[in-house]
Amino acid sequence: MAHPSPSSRPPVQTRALSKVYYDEMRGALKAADSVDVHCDAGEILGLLGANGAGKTTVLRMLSTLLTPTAGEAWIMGHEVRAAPEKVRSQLGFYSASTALYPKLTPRETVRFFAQINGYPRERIEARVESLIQRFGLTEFADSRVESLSSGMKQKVSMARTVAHDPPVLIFDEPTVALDVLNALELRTIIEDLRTEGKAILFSTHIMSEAEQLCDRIAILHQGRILATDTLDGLRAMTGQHYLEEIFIHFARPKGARPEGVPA
Amino acid sequence: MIGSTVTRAIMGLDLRLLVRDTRTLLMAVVLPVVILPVFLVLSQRTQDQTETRAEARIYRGAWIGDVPEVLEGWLEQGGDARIEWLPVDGPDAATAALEAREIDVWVTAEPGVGAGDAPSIHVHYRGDRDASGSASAMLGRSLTDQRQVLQAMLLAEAGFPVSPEAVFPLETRNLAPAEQVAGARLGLFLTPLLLLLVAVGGSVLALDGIAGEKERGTLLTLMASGAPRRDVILGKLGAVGAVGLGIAAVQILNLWLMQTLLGGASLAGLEISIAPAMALLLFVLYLPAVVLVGGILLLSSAWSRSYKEAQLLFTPVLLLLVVPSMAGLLPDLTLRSVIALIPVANLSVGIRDLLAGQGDGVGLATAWAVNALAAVWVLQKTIRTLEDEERLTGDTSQAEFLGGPALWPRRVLVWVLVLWAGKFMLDVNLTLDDLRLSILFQVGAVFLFFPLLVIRVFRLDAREALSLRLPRPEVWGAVLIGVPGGLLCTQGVFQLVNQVIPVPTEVLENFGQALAPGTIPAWQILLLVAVIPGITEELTFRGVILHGLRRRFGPVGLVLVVGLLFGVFHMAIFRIFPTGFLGAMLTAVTLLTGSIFPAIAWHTLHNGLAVGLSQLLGQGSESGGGGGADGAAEAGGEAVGWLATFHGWFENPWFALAGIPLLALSFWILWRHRTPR
Repeated sequence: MAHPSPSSRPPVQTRALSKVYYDEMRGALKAADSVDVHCDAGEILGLLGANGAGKTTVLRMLSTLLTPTAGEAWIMGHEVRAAPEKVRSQLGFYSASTALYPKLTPRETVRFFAQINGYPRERIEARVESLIQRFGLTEFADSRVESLSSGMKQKVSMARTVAHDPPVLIFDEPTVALDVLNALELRTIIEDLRTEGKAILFSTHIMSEAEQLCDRIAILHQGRILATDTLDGLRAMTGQHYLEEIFIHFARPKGARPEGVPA
Repeated sequence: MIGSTVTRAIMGLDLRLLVRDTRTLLMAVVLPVVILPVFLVLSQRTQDQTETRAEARIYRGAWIGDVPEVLEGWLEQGGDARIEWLPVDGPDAATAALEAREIDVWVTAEPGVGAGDAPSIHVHYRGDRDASGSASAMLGRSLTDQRQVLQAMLLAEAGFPVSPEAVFPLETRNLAPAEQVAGARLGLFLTPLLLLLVAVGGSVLALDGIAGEKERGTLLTLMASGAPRRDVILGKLGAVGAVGLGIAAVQILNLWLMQTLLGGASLAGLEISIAPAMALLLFVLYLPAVVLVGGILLLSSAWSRSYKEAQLLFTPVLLLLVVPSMAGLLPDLTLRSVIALIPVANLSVGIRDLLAGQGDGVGLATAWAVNALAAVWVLQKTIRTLEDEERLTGDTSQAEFLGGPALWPRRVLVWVLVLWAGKFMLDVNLTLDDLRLSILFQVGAVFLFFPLLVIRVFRLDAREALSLRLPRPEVWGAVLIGVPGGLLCTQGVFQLVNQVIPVPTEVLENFGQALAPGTIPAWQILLLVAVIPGITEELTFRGVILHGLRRRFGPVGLVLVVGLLFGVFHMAIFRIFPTGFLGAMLTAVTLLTGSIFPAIAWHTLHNGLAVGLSQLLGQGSESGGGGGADGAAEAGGEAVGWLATFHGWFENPWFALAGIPLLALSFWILWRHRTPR
């Protein structure tokens, strides 16, 4: 495997990334099928797809929680199978299923994740303080996480995700359990992170969220990328205005299996 | 440096979470510490009371019929002071009274028959009642005593000496120093007690530390972080070990306090003082075992998909740990046996001997190393289990391979286990009179059938699975050089092992006889002992098994694991290492050449050379082969009994050193011309 120098690649890149499961009932299932995406610094790439389209599979392969069956993926020039620990130290991973330790305080949580991600020891306390302030957690910094509201917990989760200041951030359906206001706040934070120059992957099945937040959108359906472009590019490609219509345009080609698209 | 920071951070986190979890802390840590002494006090009280009550109790009995003349005096004095004799009419009434608990025991005297005319005494009681049983036992003792008194009187009347002292005086003397007696007693139960306490204490954290985190979703957060997984496990192990040792220390202190405060005999032995140097030695000796216990707890926790599963697993895991830890209770076990290689059990035996003042330095060092190796293996296994994506993410649990080549690497260990068990049953239950049939069936058929079955069931590509490809021509030269070198080295390993685990001589003799010259034609011997195992065992071990394990281990791991499996399949403890050594060499040959044919040639020549030497030159030699069917060959040609000197050399482990240059040259050639897959 010829490795180009890390600098020549975008912060996130995949090539023919695939994950195949073998199911007793259904045989081989391609949860991800030759996925090619990339994401630049200061960009939010949206992965848009229905439930079960393969968004989580792709993001988990990028964060080395799953091993690809075939293909390659690089985070900051490190290949996920060749250097999983380096990959993980370069990214912050956030999903609805990554929980916090209820018995820790927000301050301890952020400090812990900065420590285990190898953030320089002498700068940890300053980093913790700045994140506590930035996410408006000062008042609750020393209360236990279990006593916080869900919106506050969300912010603590966000703070622990960026605790070690990683250049790449992965958000796997982060707003799925949030109310409208908390979701909005979260999106604002993500936009700020883009401004800081992070490369951000953001998966969602909510069309409006993708429309508002993402610089480019990759439409994922049954494990395959059907199209990747800016919203305007997608509009031009399909002649549809709304993302929902664009999505349907790709996911259900004329005359083809209408039952194939889950609600 | 990051590693140690991460390890410390994780350890700190786990301990902090435990301390903050008040309910867990209370129920799993504080409560047992309080309950144990209460339990001990209560059980001691109960025992004391039972004894006092039993001593004070007056039983009720009935004597039915006439009292024999010889016992009249005894009965007039009360018979036994603790039996109150009640009047009861006849056996039927007595049985009824016994059933109604009005009496505890009744006695009849039946007229004697024969020369002496001595009456026979019958004591009746009910075994389903404690009081009745005790009354009967007490009465029995009293009657036996009385019989001895009467016997002595009769003897005295007849002019024989009455006092046993007049026959010969007897005295026993305990020469062991008191502290060693106490040490020996402590040594018996120190290992099971300590490991049990560590396991129970450590389980609090181990179960929650992985299975609990998995359930709460924090494990995924941790695993997606940049923390190296080895450091995560080491951190968790540190926390489990600290809590386990901490609780064990508190409990032992607790027991000691109770012992001092209460006195009594329930924990005799703990009061002995252990010198600081001995305490330090014990700590060092127990350390790998404690790490092993912590590792096994973490492994079971990592293996479980939920906290509940981990809880269900805990009891069998505890048994798995505690049963070997009681090996020291078996009096005949010594460290100079295979027990030295069994983790935990070896420590149990070694520390028992150490505390009894008979420490075995080499044995304890071996035990320490075995436990340390086992601990490292368990920790690596834990990391791998933790990374198992199905267990980690939980959302692909439905995905299971259905047949197909990809399934073989996942099933190989189970199949190997079944093959081993099957072969073991076969070897134990099937003894064919004809050695030829036995080898044909138990080696030829079994090891030919297995790879064929695997290839068929898993639809493997036979060429790939069996490494059927032609090697480079240079390889054959290396094989020719390597075989004698390998034979010498294997013989050396055999002799070394022989120092620790002596080979049962009858095994060698039996085999020597079976293969004695003249019984079977030479060509048949070569076919049975060299060619058939050479081909079939290679197809199994360097074929499908090696193929299945390729993705699990690196080259060194493969050499060790396949070698060990090969040794274990030869069904005799003393053959594991020499045969395993041969298996490791053959695995290395297959890996380097990418082909099974050199290993087949090597194996065949090795066996052929070993048996050939013994057949040609060892006529009437006293040593034979080693167990199992093709034993002589693979146990390292111990059968060779050439000239007496040569034979003598061969039994000297140092002679094996002569094989090393040959072996090295052979592997150098193989390395130069390596064509791995």
